[in-house]
Amino acid sequence: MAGGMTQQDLAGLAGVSRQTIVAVERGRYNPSVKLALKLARALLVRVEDIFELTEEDDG
Amino acid sequence: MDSVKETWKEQAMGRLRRMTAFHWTMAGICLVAVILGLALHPAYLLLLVLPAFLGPLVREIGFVKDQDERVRFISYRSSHIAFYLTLAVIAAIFIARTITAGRSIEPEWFIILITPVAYKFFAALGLTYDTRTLALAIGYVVGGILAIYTAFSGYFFTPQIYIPLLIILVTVVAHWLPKLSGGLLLLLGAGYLVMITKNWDPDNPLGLILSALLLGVPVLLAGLLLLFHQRMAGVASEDFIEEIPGETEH
Repeated sequence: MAGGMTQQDLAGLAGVSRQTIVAVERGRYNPSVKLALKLARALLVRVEDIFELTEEDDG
Repeated sequence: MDSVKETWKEQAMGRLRRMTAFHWTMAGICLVAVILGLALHPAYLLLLVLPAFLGPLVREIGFVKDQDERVRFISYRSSHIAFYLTLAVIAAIFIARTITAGRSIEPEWFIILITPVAYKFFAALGLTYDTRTLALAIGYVVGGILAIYTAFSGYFFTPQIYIPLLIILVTVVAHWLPKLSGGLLLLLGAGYLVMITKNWDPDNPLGLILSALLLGVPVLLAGLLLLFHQRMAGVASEDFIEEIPGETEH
């Protein structure tokens, strides 16, 4: 994972399990706005930097 | 080979360390059920069903708060599937009894089908609006159905009509005095449960369970909802007020 942060580290900061981080990364789970904000805060980025609405999602 | 064994052991120990008091309680119930089932009577193995009910229940009422929203989501989704599977099983029993066996269906079977649907409807109502609206809806619907049932059973001019009329009256009062009505509905629900339990026919336990689930428990629940009125989960809360990096820096 970027910035030397492991999935386990990110999971700990966001208060979820590592499996949830894996599921979000692989697009198998859509996080709530709250979790998306927590992930962005943990990674010190904005939400739209890590999540995007693809044409497939928009349809 | 040793390193693989160590990894497996480490993983097992890691999983054990992550077990909460809730998990240990569930594991304890299962162990007791197996011991009692093997030592005393196989009927005790039915206790193994308890964790399946208790798990989602304690999560729904907020007793156990999963921090992981994906786990909550999976729990809700699987319970949703189980709900429709239960209805499908009941519908299959209906079809098997009527078409295949050519037997008539007793009213209890229809109530078995209606009970989960009614609970789902009222749960959705509570999540959409608030607990007070849900309590009022329960009061009017249960009171109304019981009044109609009592009237059609020929008990309209007997003291038996007092219970449904009281439920409706107390529900009307709840518009102005919710706490008082909550306490009264709690008493009415508890009273009704005591009444049907005292007149319980041992040959018809299904009748007692269904009367309790469709009439006694909802009234009791309506009382609790009025007494402890608050917005339920599903309605937006304002608990996320921390600053987000970048949002405040301009």
